[in-house]
Amino acid sequence: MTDMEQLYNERLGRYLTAMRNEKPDKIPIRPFVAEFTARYAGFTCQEVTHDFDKAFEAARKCAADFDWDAVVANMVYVWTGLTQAIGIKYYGTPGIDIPPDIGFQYREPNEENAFMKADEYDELIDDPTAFLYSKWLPRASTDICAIGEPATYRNNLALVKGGMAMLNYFTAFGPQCDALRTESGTVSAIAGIFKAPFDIIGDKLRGYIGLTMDMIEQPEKVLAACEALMPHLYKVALSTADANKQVPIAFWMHRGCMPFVSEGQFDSHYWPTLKPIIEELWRNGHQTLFYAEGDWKHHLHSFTELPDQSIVYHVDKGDIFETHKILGHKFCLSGGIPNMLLSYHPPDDVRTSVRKSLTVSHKTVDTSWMPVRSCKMIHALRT
Amino acid sequence: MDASAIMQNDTRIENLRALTDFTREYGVYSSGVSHPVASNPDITPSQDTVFRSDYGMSENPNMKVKPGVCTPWEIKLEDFPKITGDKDLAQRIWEDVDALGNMFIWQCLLSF
Repeated sequence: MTDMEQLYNERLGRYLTAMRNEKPDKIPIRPFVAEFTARYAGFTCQEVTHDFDKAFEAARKCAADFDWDAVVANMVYVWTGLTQAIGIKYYGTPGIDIPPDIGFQYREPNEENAFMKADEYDELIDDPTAFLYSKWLPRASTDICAIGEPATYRNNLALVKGGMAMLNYFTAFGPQCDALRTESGTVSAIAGIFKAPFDIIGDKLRGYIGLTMDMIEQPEKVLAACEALMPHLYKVALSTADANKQVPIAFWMHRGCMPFVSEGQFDSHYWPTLKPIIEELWRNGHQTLFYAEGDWKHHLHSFTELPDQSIVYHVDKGDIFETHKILGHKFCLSGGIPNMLLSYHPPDDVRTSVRKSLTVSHKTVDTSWMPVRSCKMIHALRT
Repeated sequence: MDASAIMQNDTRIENLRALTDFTREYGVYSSGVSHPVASNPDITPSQDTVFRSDYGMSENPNMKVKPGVCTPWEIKLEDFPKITGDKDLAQRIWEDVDALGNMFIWQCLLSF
């Protein structure tokens, strides 16, 4: 076994042990570095967003230069060469729509131009896949024609180029993960893609404002649509998950928490159409990484309904210590070091934050991933 | 160990270096043990896990078109007056390729 392979195995073992909510030898470091990789490697945001070879190169350079256990193979995930080929209109592409040193942006259409209309729930519920091809894609694309319109050269090209570009992009991830392993002994941190049914309706179909109105005017249709989406979203998550059942499926959580929704709406719509999917994935041996964007403090007790170890919970705006009190006995936690510190404060402030994170955890509970009783860090704090 | 949110190009290199180095130096469990990968390769429910009858998606209603499918074989079959050869082969290949079309649109929706 090479030294690099040995390093990889040590890191993988550490990462898996922590995600089981058990105590590894060290706290694994798994930073979700997106456009940071461009800054470090000397690229613009345009370069890493529009040329995925450069994004991959930047990710590998960071992995080689920092002592990290696991990284995402490409956290600047949206390759705008692909979205451009399809004519996807909801992205602001660096260097084209926005300045080259700004990360790509999602531009939600206004209510009148939502990609799904308020009276189209029955059509979505009847056959979600057909709805996506027939209604959603033509509206979300500048090039793809609506059903019934005369086909165009650009329409045909968009579909062919989009399919080929997706194949090209996804096929490149295997060699990228292999390179991370062999060049720097770094684990590919996640696999697969999942989003909650409720979020899909808000993010990509009705828009947030449209969905909010629908929750008042036709909540039963929203619920039926969420239920109709469930098996499809589950299928995508399962089919894109890690075949070795090691690293978790990434679940990007958007606007299902208060104050975007009321507590009642979370209980009636968001959670009942999410929980069964997570349970089913776990039944099939797959953990899910809850990347809890925003502050989900009002809903943490709902998450305790999930089986032990079935998820890894990532804290964004929430209080990681309060989160740890509620979820720490069941799940591995990650996150919690404020990005503001990392961007605008001196390194000593970062060290203080990391130290506080480790120390408070030590004082409150004895569980995995944060240091506990005999942690070397404690000695350092006394000196 | 990780930041709260994904780290973009406003993240200072020296700060991420500080996070990394501090965690490496002090985030050590003297009593911790990482499972060897070879002996414990995956993360799955423990063997004594009891799955309720209503656990997961068992209660999900029947669907007109199944997940992973765009055009069901039964619909495509209507295009053919008669299949003279191996019907199972024809069905399998149709469904395998049809699934790629399904993957494309759901990936567009979810990943892009």
